Amino acid sequence: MPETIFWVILFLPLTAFVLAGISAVNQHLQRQIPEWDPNYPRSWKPIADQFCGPRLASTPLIIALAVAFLLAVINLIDSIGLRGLPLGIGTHELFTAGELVVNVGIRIDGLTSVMLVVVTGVSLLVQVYSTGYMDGDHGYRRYFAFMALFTTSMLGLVLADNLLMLFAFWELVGLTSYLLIGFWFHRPAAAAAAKKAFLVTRLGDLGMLAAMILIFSKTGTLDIASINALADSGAEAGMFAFNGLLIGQTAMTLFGLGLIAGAVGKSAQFPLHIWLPDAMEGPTPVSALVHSATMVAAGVYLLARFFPVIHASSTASDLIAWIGAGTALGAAILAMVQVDIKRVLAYSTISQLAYMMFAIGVGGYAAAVFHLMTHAFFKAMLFLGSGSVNHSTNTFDMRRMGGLRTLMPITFGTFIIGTLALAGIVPLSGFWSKDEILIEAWENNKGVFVLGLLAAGLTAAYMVRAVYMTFFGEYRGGEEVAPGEHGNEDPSHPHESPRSMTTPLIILAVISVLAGFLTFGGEFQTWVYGALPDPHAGKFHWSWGIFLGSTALAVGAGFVAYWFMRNRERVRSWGVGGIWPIPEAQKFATELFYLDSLAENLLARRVFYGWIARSSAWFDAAVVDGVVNRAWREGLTISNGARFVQNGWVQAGTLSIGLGGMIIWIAVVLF
Amino acid sequence: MTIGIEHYLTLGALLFCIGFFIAWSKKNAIGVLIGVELMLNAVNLTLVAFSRFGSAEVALSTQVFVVFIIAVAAAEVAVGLALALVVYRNRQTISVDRTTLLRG
Repeated sequence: MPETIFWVILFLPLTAFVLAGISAVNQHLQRQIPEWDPNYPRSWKPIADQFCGPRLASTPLIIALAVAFLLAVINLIDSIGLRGLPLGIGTHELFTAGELVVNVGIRIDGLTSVMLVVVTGVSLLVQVYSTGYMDGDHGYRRYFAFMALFTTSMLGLVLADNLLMLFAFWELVGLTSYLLIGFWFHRPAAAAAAKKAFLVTRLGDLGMLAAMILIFSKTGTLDIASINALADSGAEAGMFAFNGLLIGQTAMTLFGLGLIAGAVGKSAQFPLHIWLPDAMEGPTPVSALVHSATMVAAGVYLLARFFPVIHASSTASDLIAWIGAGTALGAAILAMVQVDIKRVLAYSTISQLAYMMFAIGVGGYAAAVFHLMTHAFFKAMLFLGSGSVNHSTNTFDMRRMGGLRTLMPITFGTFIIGTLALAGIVPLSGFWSKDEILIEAWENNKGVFVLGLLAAGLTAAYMVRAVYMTFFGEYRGGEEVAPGEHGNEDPSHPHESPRSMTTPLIILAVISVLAGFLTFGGEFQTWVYGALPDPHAGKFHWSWGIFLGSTALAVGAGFVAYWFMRNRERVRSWGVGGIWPIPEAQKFATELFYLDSLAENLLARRVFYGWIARSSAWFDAAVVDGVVNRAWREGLTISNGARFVQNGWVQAGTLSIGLGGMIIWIAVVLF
Repeated sequence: MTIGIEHYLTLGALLFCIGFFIAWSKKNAIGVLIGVELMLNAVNLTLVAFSRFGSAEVALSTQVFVVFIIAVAAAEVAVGLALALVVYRNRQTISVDRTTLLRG
């Protein structure tokens, strides 16, 4: 397809953003101007309301995404025809500053094509869902403006052909994430969560920025294809050389580590995972799109994009493999003890992203991208399902739910499909991608494999627990609508959500069932491998041992969890709280391994606030302000000293003229 | 003793200093004007001396200068005296120490 098409894909949501912005500004203006204000041109008001109403915010975005999705699908079919090889799409010079040539350009290959379909597809369904979920919310128009901007940024991120453009959109994605987490900024928890997410991910971005500066100073290029080809050329005597570019092994390792830092921040991996559970303060569709399906997958995308770089250094690839494996297990353990359904899903997201991370670390590039895709669909569906539950019960606390199986059958059915896909039950999509990853891990790193397998078992257990608490047993009444919020007025009688919300759920459920079959014959892997410098046919991994082992573990863990939930009265009578046999372990997990309090009390309060912020404040007050204050005080003193000259006496003035003339005369005579 | 240029210049310098001293020490505005007038004429004397002792070219330009200064001095006295008169009418004094309306 011609290059213009891809710019159209990028600019469609941007146009929707502008329209939604106009609508939101119109709403703001209407609130500013009182009805009785005679200066307001009354004849405009109906026109403004008709054309800049809430529908201007949502409808253009949905249309834009539908068109973009269609174009992305056509492009994917094209890309499949090319077996995922990169298309010759141009790059344009934006400006030149000395040696630095800043380009904007688009790179289309198998990886980008898959990402385009995932981003536009999930975003489209989430927007349709949002029209139902956000209906009646005061910030309806602002919400769609932010969502449109987010989708634009995410598309720019996956389309970018150079690291600088990628980084710019990467930061834009971070910004929109901040805006969307803090969407209900009047709630202190949401405002704090937005700030936390922004600051924590910024920490990782710092590493990415450093990596970018490093690679540019060493090679003078930021072009993704060149860097990958360079990394893929293989080190000879500690130097990578390709096409006139030259870089040492150490610099390459540092570059890889910087990228990993960025990915760890964005994809919420240990130790920067602490922001993602708090990010659940945002509206649920935001969690579905931004904080499970697309934005947090950007970190995985980055590492997949620079896969040759990560594997040019065993330090980098081992590091990300172990970070991923540890996070996968740790987050799954934390998901076991959460009582907030969205937090269960948040920890589950961290755990699943960690799967993709360690898959990249052990060399399972295609498996990681495959899991990214399947996970995007079923996790978005699970989040939308939890939003649907919230829509009728006004709460995310699973202790206030229960028994929704019969009351919300569509939500229940789709949630079950999502659970099975997430737990990796054959033949749903999650099974195929998770098994691919486990097989890759088994072949390359047994330690990582064991951690991943344990996490797979725990995944089934915590999902069964969540489903049981939400949908089985007696309904426990939900929660009344908080004052000043909107929600179901009668939470004691929950009802199924409107069709705008259930339709996306059903579509996502169908995709979640079918998406896994793309793997057959290694077709999917082949497209994705087309993005690498040495494209080769992918293969479809299969191992009866791992299939039986992981399925048995998942089913077994699921049944154990079910039994515990079913008989929790009896379990409690043994003196055991919750699902954990040891109370201390339960406490350790509910306290999130003390990582959050460590980060908050030690890092944020002691180190950042106590040392860095205070010493900066001292420097500001003593040095920066000190210099300025000293300057004006000294100036005042000098001026006061010189004041006597300007006393207004004519004779003093005359005298100074005479003396001045004499001084000039003496100077002329002497010199 | 022949009268040379030095004598003219010394006299001019003396007159200038006396004029400056008058302009400086007098509080009466008219006195100040007289001092200024004396200074201008001291300069005139000096210039005429240069015209007498210098080359033809210097003579011409200095004489033009002198005529110019005389004209400007006349104008200045006319304006200065008129000002003194107006100030006296308004404030019943022409002491430069008392006319301090613009002093901050």
